[in-house]
Amino acid sequence: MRSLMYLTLFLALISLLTGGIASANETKGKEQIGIEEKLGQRIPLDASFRDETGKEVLLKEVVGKPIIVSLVYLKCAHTCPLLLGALAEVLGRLDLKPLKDYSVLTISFDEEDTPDIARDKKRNYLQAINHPFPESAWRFFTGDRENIKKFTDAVGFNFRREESGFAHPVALIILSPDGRIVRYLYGRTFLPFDLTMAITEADKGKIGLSRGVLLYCFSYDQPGRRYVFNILKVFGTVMIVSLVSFFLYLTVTGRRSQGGPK
Amino acid sequence: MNARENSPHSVSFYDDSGRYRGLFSWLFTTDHKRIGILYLISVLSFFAVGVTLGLLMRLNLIDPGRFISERTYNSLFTVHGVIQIFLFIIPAIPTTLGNFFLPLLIGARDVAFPRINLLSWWLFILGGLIVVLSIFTGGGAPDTGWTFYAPYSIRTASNVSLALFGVFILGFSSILTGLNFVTTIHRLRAPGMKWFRMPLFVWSLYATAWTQILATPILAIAVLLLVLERSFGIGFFDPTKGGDPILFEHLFWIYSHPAVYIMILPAMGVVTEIFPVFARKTVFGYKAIAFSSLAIAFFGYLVWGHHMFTSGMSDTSRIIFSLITFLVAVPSGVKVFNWIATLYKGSIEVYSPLLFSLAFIFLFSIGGLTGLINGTLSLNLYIHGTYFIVAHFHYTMFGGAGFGFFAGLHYWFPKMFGRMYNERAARTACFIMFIGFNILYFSMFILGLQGMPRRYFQYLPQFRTNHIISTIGSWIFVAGLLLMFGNLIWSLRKGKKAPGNPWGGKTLEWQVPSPPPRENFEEIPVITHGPYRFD
Repeated sequence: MRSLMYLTLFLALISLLTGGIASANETKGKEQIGIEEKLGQRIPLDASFRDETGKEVLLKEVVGKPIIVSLVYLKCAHTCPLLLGALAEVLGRLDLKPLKDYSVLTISFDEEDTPDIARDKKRNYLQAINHPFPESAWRFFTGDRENIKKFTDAVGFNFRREESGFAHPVALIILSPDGRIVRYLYGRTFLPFDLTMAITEADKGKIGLSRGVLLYCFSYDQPGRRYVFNILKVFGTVMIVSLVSFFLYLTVTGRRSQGGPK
Repeated sequence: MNARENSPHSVSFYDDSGRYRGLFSWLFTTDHKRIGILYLISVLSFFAVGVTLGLLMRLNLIDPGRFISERTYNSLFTVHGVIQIFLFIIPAIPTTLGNFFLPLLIGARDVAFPRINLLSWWLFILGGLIVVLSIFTGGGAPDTGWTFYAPYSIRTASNVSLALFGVFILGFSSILTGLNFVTTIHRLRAPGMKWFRMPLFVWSLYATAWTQILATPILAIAVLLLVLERSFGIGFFDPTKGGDPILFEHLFWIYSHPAVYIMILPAMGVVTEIFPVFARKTVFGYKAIAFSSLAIAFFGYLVWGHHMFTSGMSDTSRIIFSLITFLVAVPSGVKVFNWIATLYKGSIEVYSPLLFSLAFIFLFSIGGLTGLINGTLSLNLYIHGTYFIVAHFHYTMFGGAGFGFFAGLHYWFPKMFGRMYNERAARTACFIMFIGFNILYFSMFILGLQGMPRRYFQYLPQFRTNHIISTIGSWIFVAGLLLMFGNLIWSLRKGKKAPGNPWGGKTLEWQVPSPPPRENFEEIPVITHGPYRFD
């Protein structure tokens, strides 16, 4: 009977601890991160951003040829640099002419990013192309919260701010010369063939099929994880303390006599 | 030893059944020897299942797809791993030979908690049956590999939850056995048996028992979290909800690496008992062997990261894990050199227990040395996830712990069953198994270096030759196994009656009749010197 009581108590304790985690996650899980494809829809041409020189630019000023758009936050230390690095690498291998056939646009969805950081990143990734590349063909945009939201909503890019950094999907978005979304390229490595194909079709305004597997970028130091570690810490400490006391108890009380013949 | 001989008329524990009759006298026994026999039967039954699954895997690999489908193959290697690890190699020695001989070796009448001992067996059977049940029910046999890595183990529709529940229960059986042994060794040693007068098998059981108590709860937690995750999607291992799949790998290996030492330490203890008896010479470096058991158990806790060199860890932690992994080799090396030094200048009598022990040293050394290759960070990145790893752990676990178990079984068989087996058949079996084993697993080292990834159903044409060689090895090996067990089973009834001390051993268990009486000792012996005094 008593052991049953202990068991109930133990289970109650577990459910309390895990319940804490569940509710902590519920509030966070409401916005589902990912991409809702909006193929064929037009981006908000009146949204305004600052380019890496700090100049105010309206999106309608950049359209006119196929555009490869990447959405990242510039302070990201996880998947975003891999995405931009892979993009830089594949740009160097394209036969198409930058500026003439296409241009590249990286937009930060972190309103705290500034043109200064953007300039720094731009220098870095232009070097990574390892090939002469016109500076004005790859622009880095930063903007305020309202314009960012306008753009990300229009392309169906759902992300979430975390305690450190963001959780967000990883993809390239290809726009046609008139600013319509023609294709999403998922993943963080791209073949020159796929990109060339996407740009060529975008030029014709043809809506294509999306390729690849959607990846996400997560920051590792999420607040939700602390709870899990608390359980582990509590159990670990209890285990160690009880085992050490068990050992001491056995050592102190010593050997028992087993009596004589039975 | 000063143990007094019991009167030849004392009744063996087989005939003295206690309160119950017939089958119940076994199922509800609290006699450590009967429980040891119960464990022996159960462990060997699970072993037979595990070997059969392994044979089927090898059969598929001579011609992938002809006999077995991809899905079935995934289940085969998963269930083979789960059964051989959790139901055979971890419990094999402590629960069978340990249960039977621990009290005899330290001069006690039973373990400290005989009823908990019986409970452990019942939990073991329950957990084992649940694991076996998971093969046939629900969404089909688990297909995650025995490591149950998240996130696949969370998403797969196969019967992972039930198998995990079985493993969870097995964990409690293991913890209880450990607790029982630790208390027994502290409390029930015969008068005069100081710590350094204990037989070295007892030392290895002591180190193992602490590891079981300390490490197994972590497995229980890991498994529990995985079941909660599968049932309620809480998100411990799911990054979209703030978890981390790497956390599972850490939790799993924090248990499962020490578990490797739960497997090998008792086997080391067994062969340490055998060498002095067949060399007629006291063991070389008693304290070094005793302390190396503790050192292996201790360092075993600090090396789990070497399973995760390619999982995403900082370079600093990888280098530290690699370094500590090398340190484990030191106490293992101490043991190997001490065994050889024990044989040196001894008057060696070659009987099957010694042959199995020599095979143990040879196979375990190959397993141990290739372990250093795996532990080297730079080399690990090259061979990670290949057949090289598969070969390595079969050499340590099966060649090491498995052969140690067989050695112990042949050494103590006369004491446990009161019969001698056919020595010639035992030697032949040992020889066939040794040859078969090396053909079966050494070809896997070569396959691994050539780049054959583990757990693959299918392979490139260049791997074909070695796969065929390996499969032929598996048939030779199983022929040896059948001969060995056939001989032992035949001898249960037909073997010659065994004397009390057929090998001339000096430890306490040889001073009582074969098989021992229910209470082991008529009078608890008084110990005046160490366990291996051959004059």
